[in-house]
Amino acid sequence: MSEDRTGVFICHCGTNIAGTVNCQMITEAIGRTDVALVREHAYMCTGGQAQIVSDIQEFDLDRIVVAACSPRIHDETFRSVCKEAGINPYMMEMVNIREQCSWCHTNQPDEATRKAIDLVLMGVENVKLDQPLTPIEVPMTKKALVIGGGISGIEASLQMADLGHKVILVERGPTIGGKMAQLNKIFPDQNCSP
Amino acid sequence: MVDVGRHPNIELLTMSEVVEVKGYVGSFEVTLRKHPKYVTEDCTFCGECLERCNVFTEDDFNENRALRKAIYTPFLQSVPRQYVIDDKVCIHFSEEACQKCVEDCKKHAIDFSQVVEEETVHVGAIIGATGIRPYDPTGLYGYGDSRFPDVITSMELERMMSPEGPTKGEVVRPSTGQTPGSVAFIQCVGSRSEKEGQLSYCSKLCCPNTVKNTLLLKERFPELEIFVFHNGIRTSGNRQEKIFLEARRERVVFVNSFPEITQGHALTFSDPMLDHDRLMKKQFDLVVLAVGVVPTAVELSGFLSVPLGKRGFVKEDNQLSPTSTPTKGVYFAGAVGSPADIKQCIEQAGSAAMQVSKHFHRDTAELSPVIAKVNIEECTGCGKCSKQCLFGAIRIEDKVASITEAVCRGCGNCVNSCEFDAISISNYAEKQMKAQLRAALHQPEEKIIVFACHWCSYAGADFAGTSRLQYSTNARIIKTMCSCGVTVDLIKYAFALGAPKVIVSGCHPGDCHYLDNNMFTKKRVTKLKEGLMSKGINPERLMLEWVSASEGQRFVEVVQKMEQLRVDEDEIEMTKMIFSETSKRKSRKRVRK
Repeated sequence: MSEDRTGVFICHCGTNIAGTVNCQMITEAIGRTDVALVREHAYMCTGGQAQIVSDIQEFDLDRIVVAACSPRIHDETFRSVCKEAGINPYMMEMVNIREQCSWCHTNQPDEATRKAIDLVLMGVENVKLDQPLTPIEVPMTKKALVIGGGISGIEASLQMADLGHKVILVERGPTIGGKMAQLNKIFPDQNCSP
Repeated sequence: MVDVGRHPNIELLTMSEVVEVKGYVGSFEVTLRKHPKYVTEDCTFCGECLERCNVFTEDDFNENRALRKAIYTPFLQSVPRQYVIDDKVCIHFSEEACQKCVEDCKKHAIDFSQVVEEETVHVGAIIGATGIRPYDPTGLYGYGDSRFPDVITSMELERMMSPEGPTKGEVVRPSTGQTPGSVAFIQCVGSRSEKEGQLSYCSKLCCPNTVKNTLLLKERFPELEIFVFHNGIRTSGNRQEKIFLEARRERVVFVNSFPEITQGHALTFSDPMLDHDRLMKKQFDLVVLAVGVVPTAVELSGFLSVPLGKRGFVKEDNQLSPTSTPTKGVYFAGAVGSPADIKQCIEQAGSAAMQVSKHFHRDTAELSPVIAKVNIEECTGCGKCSKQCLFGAIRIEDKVASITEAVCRGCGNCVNSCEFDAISISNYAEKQMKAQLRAALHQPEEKIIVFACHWCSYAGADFAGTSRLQYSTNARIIKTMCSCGVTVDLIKYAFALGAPKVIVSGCHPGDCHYLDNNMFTKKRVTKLKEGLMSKGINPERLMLEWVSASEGQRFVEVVQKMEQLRVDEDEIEMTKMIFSETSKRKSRKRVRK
């Protein structure tokens, strides 16, 4: 790659991040590297989405780092944003400067900021080596197998069959019914076993 | 039940079992073994065969408290409505070659020539619903002991109270056949116990089931004396507490204590609620053991390659997807995942059916591309990665490793086995983690590198943050899919860059989302720690800890414990030298090849 086309987006999460971490210092530190763009936003996951899309297009970015909350929460959100902006959704790395930084180092703002800068730098190095990926598509055989003919297997089979799907129900014994069939009445209403 | 038998979309295969499952979502190839019934579909259920047969055996449907014949149906409403012959007891298969049922069957529906058959079926999705079995209490409270014939299990009572059961619904003492004047229920039999062979969890169904049975007994025998010995009655939820209070109103005595049993079905117990010190002794006519429930998931886990939790139930993919397994296209419903009552089983069945229906709504399934990728320029076809993969996703073709993309889960266990850096996980490549290490360790200082797996440890760190637990600012977390993706090379690289301390963390043993792959992590880290020691490096600088998604506090403790460790600069320098040497040696070897 002749020129870096990485964009870095730093989320304040209201005061959740910016209340502890000095986001401007992150911007300055990352700005000194060769990334194409550093942008801050109060809420990257809501209003920030449109900003990311327009920045990707305006600055011709090919990959982004989103420094915000946990990827376990918003990985999919920002992958969709990439898709919308026309870049591969896997050319995105999230950096967790909320759960791993502002929230767990609340009383050490300087240290937290230093750590946040490190984390974003790590994310930038990581995203540089990301490859565009495409989800794997496999054909779907529209027939289900249910293993076990107790109450759960019976009910699952009926639900799917009623929706029009073909079902094979496999039961080891000579009849379906399972443990439920052995019960006399069931709690809490003393109904007869179904 | 009858709806299943007549539904045009359901093919019901009884006396059948799953032998092998191959493939992936959308295209599973399942081998089924069908055992012979020796009775064809021409059977009209007339029952003449049953009258002629005079070979008896114990009736497992009635918990072996009654006899049934060699040709039988477990109960009258069986589905399919068809008799079967039990070839383990039928004397046609012995020297006698009995033919009585054949002679009497007007429909010629008996066919002794049937044999075990195997059949392969193709399906797009699978739901495992093998349920639970009652805990076997043999040996507890004299159960199964000839001295205590009137100790029975809750399931035996259930059959006894059924109008179709061995006593036609009469509740009797097995020893005399007489109606009991007093009944004791003992709760938590096999459950909530750390004793060898018992169940550490609450089986959940036994308390409400006992309360139900006390009410049914009181309805029939208002004067019957009933005691329930328990360890805290658990009747949670919408309507269960109501029946518990009703039982108390009906003068069922609840005693918070576990009794001892002695000759004559006498129970000795103390009741801390009534009189703390006094030991009481009371004789009962019938003792019912409220046995726990045991999962039947081991076999299922084997052929579906889904992980089990510590207690032997199927482990859900994550808490918010309670009927999904980590294998796409494989779901489960009911008590095979956790003790569940009938209502919960039905709810889960609906959830699992919905998951499958979502797949069937589309013509294809989409799978994550974060999987292993082979660099064919570097691959020598040695096959080590293929042997390492527990999912069978790698095969060697034309002297090069080839990935079955839909089968690969992207755990990264293969990466460590490759000496030539020819295999990597897309976007979790070793070189990407090394790049992160370089960025994290540009000033190594007191830093702690923490490798955390996506499923448990990383989530545990998230939970620590969400709970606002405070820990050392020296921690630098690098996310992997599984701890098994942290290669020995990677850890050595961190030390070569001057990392003072490294933590490798993953899911607890038995909780790994990739079968037992975290055991490979354990083996590698343990060996590397020995290596550190032999080189004069403090092995405590490398730590392996299991942290689950709910263990935020534990994550903090692990980091803080490492934070306490002091490493002097000379040792860091020495480690740097040792490991930069070894990586140089390795690269020379590679060039020679």
